[in-house]
Amino acid sequence: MTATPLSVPERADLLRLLADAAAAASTTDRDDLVDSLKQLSQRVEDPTIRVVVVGQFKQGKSALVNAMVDQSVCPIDDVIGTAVPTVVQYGETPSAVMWSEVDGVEGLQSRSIPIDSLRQHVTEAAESQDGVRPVRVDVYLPNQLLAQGISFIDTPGVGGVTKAHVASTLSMIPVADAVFMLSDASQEYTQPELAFLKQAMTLCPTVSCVLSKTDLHVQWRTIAEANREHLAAAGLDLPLMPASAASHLRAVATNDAALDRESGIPQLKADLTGDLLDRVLTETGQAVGRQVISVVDHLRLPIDSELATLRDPGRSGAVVKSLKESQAAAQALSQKSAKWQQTLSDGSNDWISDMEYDLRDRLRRVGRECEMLIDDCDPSEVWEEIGAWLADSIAQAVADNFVWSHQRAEWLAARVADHFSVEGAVELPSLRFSDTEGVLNPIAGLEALPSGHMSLPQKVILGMRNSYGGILMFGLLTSLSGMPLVNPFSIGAGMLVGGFSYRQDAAARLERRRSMAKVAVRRLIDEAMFQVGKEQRDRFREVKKTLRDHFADMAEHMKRSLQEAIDSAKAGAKSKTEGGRTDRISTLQAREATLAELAERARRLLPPGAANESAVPAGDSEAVVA
Amino acid sequence: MNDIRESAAMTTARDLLDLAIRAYRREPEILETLQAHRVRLDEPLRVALVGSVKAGKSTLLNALLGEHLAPTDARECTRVVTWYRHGSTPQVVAKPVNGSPENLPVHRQHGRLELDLGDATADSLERIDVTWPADPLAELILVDTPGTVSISESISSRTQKFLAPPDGVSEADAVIYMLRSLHLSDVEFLHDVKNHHGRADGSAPRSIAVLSRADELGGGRLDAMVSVNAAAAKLRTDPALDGVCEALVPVAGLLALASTTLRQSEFSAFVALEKLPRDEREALLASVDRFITAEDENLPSPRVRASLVERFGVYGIRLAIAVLRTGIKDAPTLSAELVRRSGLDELRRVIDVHFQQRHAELKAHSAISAVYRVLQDNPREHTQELLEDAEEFLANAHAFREMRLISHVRSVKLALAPEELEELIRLTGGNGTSPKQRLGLDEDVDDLTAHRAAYDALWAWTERAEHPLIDRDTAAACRVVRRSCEGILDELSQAHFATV
Repeated sequence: MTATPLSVPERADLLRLLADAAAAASTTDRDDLVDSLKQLSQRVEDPTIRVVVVGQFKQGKSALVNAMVDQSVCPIDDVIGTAVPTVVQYGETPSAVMWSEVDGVEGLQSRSIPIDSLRQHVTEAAESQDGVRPVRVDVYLPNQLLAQGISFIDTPGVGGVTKAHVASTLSMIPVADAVFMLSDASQEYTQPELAFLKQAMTLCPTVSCVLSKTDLHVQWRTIAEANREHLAAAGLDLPLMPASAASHLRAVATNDAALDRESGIPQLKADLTGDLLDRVLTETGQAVGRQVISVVDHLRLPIDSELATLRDPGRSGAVVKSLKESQAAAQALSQKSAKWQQTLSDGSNDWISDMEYDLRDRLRRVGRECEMLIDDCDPSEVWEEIGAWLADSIAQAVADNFVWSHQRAEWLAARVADHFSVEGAVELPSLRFSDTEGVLNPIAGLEALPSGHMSLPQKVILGMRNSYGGILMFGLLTSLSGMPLVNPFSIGAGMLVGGFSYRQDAAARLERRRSMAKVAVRRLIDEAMFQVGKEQRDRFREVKKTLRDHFADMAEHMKRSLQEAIDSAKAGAKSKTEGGRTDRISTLQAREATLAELAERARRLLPPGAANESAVPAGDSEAVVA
Repeated sequence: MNDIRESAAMTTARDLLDLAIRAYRREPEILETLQAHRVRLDEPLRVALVGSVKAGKSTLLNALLGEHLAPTDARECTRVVTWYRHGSTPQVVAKPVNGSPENLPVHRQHGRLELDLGDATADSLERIDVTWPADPLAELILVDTPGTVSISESISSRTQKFLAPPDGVSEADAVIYMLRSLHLSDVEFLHDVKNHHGRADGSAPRSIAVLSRADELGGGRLDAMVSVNAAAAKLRTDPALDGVCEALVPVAGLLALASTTLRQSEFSAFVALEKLPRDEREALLASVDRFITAEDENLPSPRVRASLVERFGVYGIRLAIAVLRTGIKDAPTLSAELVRRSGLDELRRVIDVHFQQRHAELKAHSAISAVYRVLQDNPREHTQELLEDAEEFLANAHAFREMRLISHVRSVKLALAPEELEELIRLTGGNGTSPKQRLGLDEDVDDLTAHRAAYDALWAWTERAEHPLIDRDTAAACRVVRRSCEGILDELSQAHFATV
């Protein structure tokens, strides 16, 4: 995503750099810094790259996933579609686990299922059990592509059964590293598809359009051209890649390399393993670079201070004073009254009220539309349709609200981060934490990360993932689909069915039915508002907590480093003997050289602009404390 | 079904229209509407083809016509509501939203009609009228509509306005709804149409659903239609379609059109392809690109192959070859077999049973709904009585009750055994409306046997209707069937005495 091309870092190099930095940190007992480095090395070792495959009903999503892993895992059918999102990832032995929500049980329940009977579990033909709602199936496969850390998420078709799918599909996109949007070559893009693409683009930086089934449609080049025009007209700068899963399978079966090339699947794979993997590795590399530089800065601060006073004991007062000023600033940052804390809490309050306003506004609009609908018909005849329409419209409104508030939350995180550069009037080493460049890009490896010290991006995204992914996919929609409000009206409807035979006061009865229907609708809308609002608030509280912990940790690190720097400076000033002083200086210089070398290696991972901006001139302690 | 059968419904409709025309004789605007409906009453049935964009509406229309008349293209093509009527000389008239109708030049290229809009844009036109000397049009007016989930909202809304105008009666008497799958927006649209029709009288609209491009669901495999037919059989019982359409027919539209217009040169090409060794042929059919670009002197020329793929699709080519292997020797036989397998024959039968045999009732229904609406919106002195007549007719006409019953039979839980339900559908005209079709007898059965069968049915259903333990819905349904039986007896005796 950065303009300057960076050479892709080697995974081993990253690991070595992290290990060296950790070794340097542990010599000074900075375990807090060591921890954060360890987390990163885990991520480097075991990256997860999620590729979400989306598209309308029956566009060949499952077939594409199968073609990508060269195995027939996801069930394919002429008519029945996928109903449960399926995550295909690496595992040493093929296996599958089904996660479901069970009535009255907290949390998701898992159960192992035979991998060859996925059809019975993930398709629309799956037999449903009362009170058990399948949420997701994890499939583990030994496969070369998957072994590189790539996982595919096969989703139910948008528009397949109900719009509720749109919301749940959307909720998977913010945590995706890449999105494949499938549309088959039988027709050009339709309005809903373009609308979905636009939404997807705001949630994930890497969206690729795949034109599927090119083996079947002779006009696929015309369609591809038309789609490119539509994309351009809609202002969407996205690549469009033709692919045919069927040709690929046939090519593999008959060992026909030329046909395989025509199928477009090798190209897709190459893009994934090449571009995407490189991009993710580059991003990880940048995270590593930033982290190592920051650790080095933390470690160097005491050394530099001590060196400064050792070299010129006369200045020790000035150095300590300057450091104390910085410490006061760091102190201020870590206090509850810090400005960033205020921004966060004000911003959170704003977020909540804006989110609620937005939600209420969208739902009210749905309500009004529904009342107009009711005025136009006899609700007892079309009640079921109204119910379905309403549930869909609410799901859509909630999805829109979700996209909107997600962006607001990201924006808030950036605002808070800004503070760390504004507030620290004295230039502090870890200022580059506040560097928002790339900070908010979704970064892979969320699943594998335990809680603890994380850099801002993962923390924020993880918080958001917990908050939104959960609410939309598992909680809210299922409770809405139960539509508790249908019942009071159904009782009324049963009573009113006889209305047909009495023609006299038909008009009065109709009016009565309409007003009853409106009451029921209002009840549903209120209920949805209450439930969604509450969920959103609860989840946002977690986002807020994550942000607060993260920034508080940062302030804490600063305080600790500064305290050590002050202690070192004082210690430096105290040392009396010339010989001891010289020894100390050379020890410290040696350590500093190691750190400088580390910083240099780390800086190579960052884009030139970012590196210069935050570079601390090596060996010149004045710049740090002056 | 050429005879425009006079029926009680038609007479009532005509009388009502005449009375209404007299009642509003001093109000030119209303009068114009009513007179238009008076003309429409004696026209052939208007059947609209409706569906999402690229659902294959124009292709199916062409297949029904048996010639490639409506323009088709890989990209979104039909942008204006286009009417196809019968007439002795070809003519194309564009009717702008504002202004007077204009004749368009009639171009045909390779047998296809080219609509040259001249200066007009698709947006500025309300509709295009095509008059064409094609026999099927003598019985049905076919209306091609822009796709419902079109890339451009204004095109989608145009179809919506045509079918369910906010302030009037639908322009179509019946709808063939094209589904590409059980897509949400498709079903939503079906419900919309239904709600609109149902507004005045609560009756279901006449509509049948066609699972178009059925072959593509199977990815071009030879058994595509088999699995799709099986799926369709299952879909027929899907509650989502209930009360919305009475029949669901899978049709491989492309194949249907291509095989009704199969050329001798294409037949020869299929024969050549059939002679290839199996492996070679399969490799050839791996993808459309391969099929066209492969080089081999035993093959038909690339141009011919390109046209084969374009016209028949991969599935069509596979099927044609498979069918040839059963020993077919000439083009007409191949054509007939492919048409049968494409589902087009079944669609024709369904159109006959559900639309053409109900011609009079559907026409009357459209007309009376229109009168009802006019009367309701413009109450004048003396019109109250007419309004009540119209309302009563819409609510009580037996034909509509039958239609309602058939279309709701799946959703209302009737306390009847499956074979009784089948008999119910048959007797109320679900498989055809002639007395003998209703009784499930061959047409050559003698009158006495038919009479006896009708009486047996009448007794059986009367008994069911009066069973003391029966629930209300079932009782009502049984009474409708009883009334149908009486109608059968009535028609049988009239026919008998007319011949004696």
